[in-house]
Amino acid sequence: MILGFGSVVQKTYPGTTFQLMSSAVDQALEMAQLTRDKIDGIIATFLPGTFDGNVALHFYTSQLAQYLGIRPRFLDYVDFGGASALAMLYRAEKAVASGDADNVILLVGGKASPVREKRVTADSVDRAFSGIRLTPFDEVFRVYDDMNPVTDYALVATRHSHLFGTTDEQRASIAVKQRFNAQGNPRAMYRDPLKVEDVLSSRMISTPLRLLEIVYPVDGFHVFVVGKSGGKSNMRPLSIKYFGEAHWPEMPPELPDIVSTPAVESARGARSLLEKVDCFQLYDSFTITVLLQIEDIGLAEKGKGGKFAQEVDFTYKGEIPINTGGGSLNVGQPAYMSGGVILEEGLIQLNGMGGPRQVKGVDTVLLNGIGGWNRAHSTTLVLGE
Amino acid sequence: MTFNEGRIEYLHCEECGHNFFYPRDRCPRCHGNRLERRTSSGNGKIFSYTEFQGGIYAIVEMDEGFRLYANVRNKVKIGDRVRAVQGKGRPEFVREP
Ligand SMILES: [Zn+2]
Repeated sequence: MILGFGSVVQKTYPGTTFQLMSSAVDQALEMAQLTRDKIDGIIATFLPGTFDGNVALHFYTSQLAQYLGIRPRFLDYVDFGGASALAMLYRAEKAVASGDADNVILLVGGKASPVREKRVTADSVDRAFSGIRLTPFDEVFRVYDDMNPVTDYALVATRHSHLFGTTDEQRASIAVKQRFNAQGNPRAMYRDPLKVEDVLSSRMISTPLRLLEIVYPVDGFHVFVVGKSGGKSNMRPLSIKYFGEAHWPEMPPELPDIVSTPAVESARGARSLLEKVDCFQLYDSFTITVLLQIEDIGLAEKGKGGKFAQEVDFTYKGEIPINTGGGSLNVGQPAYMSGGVILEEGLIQLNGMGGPRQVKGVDTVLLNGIGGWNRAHSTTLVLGE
Repeated sequence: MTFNEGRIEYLHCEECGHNFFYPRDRCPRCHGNRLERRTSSGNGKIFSYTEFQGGIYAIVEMDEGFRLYANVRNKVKIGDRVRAVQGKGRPEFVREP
């Protein structure tokens, strides 16, 4: 079960990334009522440049253990970007169930500020650092001017509008409803009320995506502790009701179309559970990302996600609450990966810790993570007691 | 496959007939390895596009059936016919009148 969690998220963290990680570990262990000497498993994730501004960390997971003073007997690494956190939780539960480890910590985060200051994104990081290959085809791919992942998601949004008539207002309503939710989240970076017109009048970044439809990359770590039930943790004994992952490694131009994500497959086995779900935490790198998952996990038919976004009240007060803490659009996106943000909010809701944004009677939460510049990875998790 | 003189080369699978652009030693559809290198007519249409920082980034669907990312020199809409022209170290596309 999940024994505890903690996070430190700041626009720019003044200390080292190791310190940032360590303070999030302390928070999580305090909630779990565990000390560091009881931790014997670590699972981590990493994107080039986004730990501390270095392109790579030699023997990364070993460095994390080294700094934390932990000698693990179980060590794993998941590189699904934004989809990593949910897969890490699944693997940790399996490691604990099999006896490979007693208590596993999941380390998700890093510093976005060094990459942000170079004016590139995590998926255009090869523009700022040498020695990074993004695909086997960079010789005929990276010779073009882009600003991925923003431009690639913009291509999806353009095509979604072309095929289904999805409007800018419909996408904007996602940003507006998530901002409403953020007003109940003291950890959110953006909490001022927002209207559809505000989104539509924000700066155009990559047509049709505007500034307020795009996450802001920040520094931060989310840490989750997984171990056996029966300890001192006061957390609800949650278990995994469903987990699915799917990977579409293709270059998006080679997909039959670009308006679907592998969530179509990762969430397929959760269809029968949708009725039971009390709130959803969907990966929100962009407004269009949320819209795609609304369709791909089955809340709306393909092409009807825009209508859903506009017409369904998905605030924490609504009938189908989504991204109840405002999502990473409002909390910020630590190290260019939102997986920790959505998992933390799912656990807050399940444990009744949501304060003003708490959805009543949350027993089941569905989370979906999307990762990779090309949306190659999707992980779907249903948590309940 | 290569961008010599602005030409767009692609691979044709002699086993299943699939045409693909991003170069591999096996056909992504049937995993066959009897591949022939061909040169595209350079003609295609816009599959999707985005305008950013003054430029256009797009997915172009070539008449031979494969698609690729590229930059386009004119404002375009989905479905617009485009033609490859020599850019700096890469083919770019222009809208056909
Ligand atoms: Zn073939």
